[in-house]
Parts: sequence; structure tokens; C-alpha cells
Amino acid sequence: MASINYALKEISCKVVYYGPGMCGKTTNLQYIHQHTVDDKRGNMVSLATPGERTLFFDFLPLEASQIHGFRTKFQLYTVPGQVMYNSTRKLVLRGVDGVIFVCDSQWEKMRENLESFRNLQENLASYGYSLETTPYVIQYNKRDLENVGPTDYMQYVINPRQVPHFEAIAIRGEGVFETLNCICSLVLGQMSHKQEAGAI
Amino acid sequence: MRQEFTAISAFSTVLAFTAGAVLCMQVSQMQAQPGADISVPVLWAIEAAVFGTAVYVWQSQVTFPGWILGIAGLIGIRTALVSVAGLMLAVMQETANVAASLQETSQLMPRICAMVFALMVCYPVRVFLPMRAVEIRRRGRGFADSAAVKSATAGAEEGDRGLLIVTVKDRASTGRKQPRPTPAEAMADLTPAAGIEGDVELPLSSVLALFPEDILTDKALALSDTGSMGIPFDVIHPQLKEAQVVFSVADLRNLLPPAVRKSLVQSSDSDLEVENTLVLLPLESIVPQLPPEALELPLPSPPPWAEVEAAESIVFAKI
Repeated sequence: MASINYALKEISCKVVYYGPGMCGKTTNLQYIHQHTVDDKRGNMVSLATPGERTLFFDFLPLEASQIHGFRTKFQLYTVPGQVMYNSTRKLVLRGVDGVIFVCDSQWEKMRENLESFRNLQENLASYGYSLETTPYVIQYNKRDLENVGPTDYMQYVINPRQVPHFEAIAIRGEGVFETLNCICSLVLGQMSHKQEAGAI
Repeated sequence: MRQEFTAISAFSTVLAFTAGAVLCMQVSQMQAQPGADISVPVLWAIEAAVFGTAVYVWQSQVTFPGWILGIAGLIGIRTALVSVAGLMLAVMQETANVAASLQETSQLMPRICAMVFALMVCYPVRVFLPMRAVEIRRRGRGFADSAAVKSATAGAEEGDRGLLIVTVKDRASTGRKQPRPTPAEAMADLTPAAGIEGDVELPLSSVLALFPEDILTDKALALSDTGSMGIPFDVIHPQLKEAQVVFSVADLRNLLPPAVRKSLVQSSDSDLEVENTLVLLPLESIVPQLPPEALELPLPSPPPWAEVEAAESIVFAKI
């Protein structure tokens, strides 16, 4: 969970990109890495197979300007989407503050999106977290492809609760920062609320 | 595409260069084919076109100076390959005349070979090409486009570019409270709206293509060429929220037009396995036929964290 270090005047939050395999989680992170100022981001760590599949996770630290005198750091992670790496996904979710669920908009991936979303709920539950308490947003990626389903239907399947959602073409950067900004706002809002309540 | 230049990329570059030089040297010793002569200006034009296209295909967001740099780099590597091949040839043949060897390896076939290997050598280093900023398509509800962000970014210092603090309006003050269903209600079955009736029409040929071959007949296939079958909406709707529409062969068989149904191989008790086989119908053919009210969502029921009002937000603006 988010930590506030009063001695160092530092806030640290963890955001995880979750979703089925090949949906564009790593592409999101790469775009962010390429389009943020050098001195505000660290190196992107990526453990991938030669086929560009995430093997363990990707990691990108970002630093925001000061908020009320505190340096705010966001640690962005992706999970491996392939079904067989569930233990890794679970591990990456430990201490998560916010989730960006990336959907692949292609028709043939609809079921995989839903299964991955349910897997997210299960893995959060294994730590005693839930989507009731963990901020999340939905990103409908690959909207530039021809065989994509309508967002109305994807909302119906993945997002009946109508949390914030964004259409995206991560490879071109469309919707990438909108999604990131939204989850960061929600995470900070949640943290501020918890702090007021004395939970952190 | 991974954009990092890794140790493996460096190794690939060195390997491709070495292999290219050796192969160019070998090719230069081949007998020139009659009629294979192409004038030098044409060769240069082909080379520039190939290299220019390659750079653009690799990085479509490359800047114009970056594109020129890429072409120049490829030509440089190609020249280096031919030169190294010529030098190696001179050393191996113990020829004192290095210039003659260089001349020999700059002919058509070694040059084409060098072009191919230059592309292989340069592919991993394409990540260093300068890229232009990508324009994000404007969206009405884009947070980065909001008035709050624009007013805050107007006075931002250079050092803050990319990461800015913005004060956003407190949503609590807008008084937009309305009764919301509980989470359980929201996640409950999305039952079809009352009054939605009708069938979803699917081409018979595409449905029969999903059947096990054991029960298909030539007659059934012939009948399916032009016809379609209707599946009642109320049968499909409960499955839509599962992101798949699945029927058993037995159930689908009952929905087929009588003529087609009769032309299929009739089932017997021993065919239970075939009859219970599940068939996945194509969502892309079904969903577009649904009436809009079929995908109607319940009232928004955001989780508690969405109700927490953010006094401040962070904007990671693209640079």
C-alpha cells in the first residue's frame, strides 16, 4: 500500500497495469517512458522473452512534483498476461494502490478480457484487497484495429459499474496519459481520504 | 516494440556486421553474371529508396533529420561492409593492391549483399533515431485537456514540464448526488430489458462450419449456402455478459430450419458425445444485431474510492 515517509517527506504509490496477454500493458509503459522528462523518471526495467512477451514484469518509477512539500513517487508495474504466470501476477499485486485494467478490444479477445478481470479480482482477494477498496480504471486498447468490438459491449461485459474508462491506441500514445492521470488522481484521493481517517 | 538497446542488440549488430563482411567477400569472388550490370546512378537511387523506406517502416514517427541520418547511417554501414570485405580479401589473397580489392567488392552483387546486411546491422540501433512528438487525438473528456489543467500549466516552470500539480474542482460541492444501486445490484445479472424480442440472424454456412464434421452432409452444406438461421434473442442474452455465446450441437440443431435439420446425420443414443459438443458462435456477428437497450447498463454504482474527492491531482503531461 501507499507509504508516506515523513522524515524524507516522500509519498510512494504503486500502480499496476493488468490485463490479458498481448493487450498492450508494456506498450503503455514504454510510451510513458519515452514521453516523460528524463529527470522525473527512472530506468524502465523489462524482463521479456525474445517474442516480446513479458516474462516477469515491467517496472517504471516516475516522480511527480512536490505536493504539500512531499515528493510523490509512482511505481508503475505491468504483469505478465499469459495464463501460466498467475503466481507472478499475484506477487506483483502485493501492496498495489491502483490498477489500470487494459482490455484488448478485438472480438476474439473478449472472453480473455473477462477472464483476466476475474483473475484480477481473485488475486486481489488473496491479499484481502478488492476492487471496492482499490481504485481502478479501464482502458480499451487497440481501438485502431479493424476487428474491434464496440465499447458499449465492452462496458457491458467488463465495466457494468461504470468506473472511469478510456479508449486508447497505446502504440500511438492515444489515451495513455489520460488513463495514467486518472488512476494517479484516484490513488492520491484515496490516500488523502485514508490519511484523514487515520488509516495511514 | 521494445525500444531499449540491450546487450543482445549490440551482439546482433556485431554478428550481422561480421557475417556481412565475410559474405560480401565471398560474393565478390563469384563470376559476374552477364547482363547484371546496373549503372552507378541507378544503384545509388535504388539504395537510397530501399534505405529510406526501411527507416520509415522501422520508425514512422522519425523526424526528417532523423530520417536523413538513418539513410546516411545505412549507406555508411554498407560502405564499411564493402570496405572491410575488400580488405579481408586483400589480406587473404596476399594482394598488395588493396585499392583493386576495394574496387572489386564494390560491384553489383557484393553491393546488394552489403545493402541487405547493412539493414540487418542497423535494425537494432534504430531506437536511437530522433522521434517527433506524437499528437494525441483530442477527446472531449480528456483530463489533460481540461480547463483546470490548462490554467495550471500556463504558469508552469520548465523543470515541472511533464509532471504538474493541478487543483481540480471538488466534486462534492456540485451536489450531484443521486440514489445509486448497491454493488451487488450492479454486478447482478444484467437481465434483458422487458419487451425485447426477435431473433439474431446468422448465416447458415457460418454456423454449420462450426458443427462436427461427423454430422454434416453434402445436402446440408448445399442448403446452407444461401440461407440463414434465427436464434431467439432471449436465448442469447443471458450469455452476453460472459463474453461468449455457446450452444451444444443438440440445442443448435433444434434451432436450424427444418430442411437443414433433416439433412444432417441424425443422432442416436451413441452420439451423445457429438451432440453435447459445444459450439462457440461468433460474437462479432451477434452483437451488432442487438437492439441498443439490450446492452443498457444499470445506474452507475462507483465503488467507495470513486466517491472520495480528490483535492489535488497529478498530470503527467506528454513531452
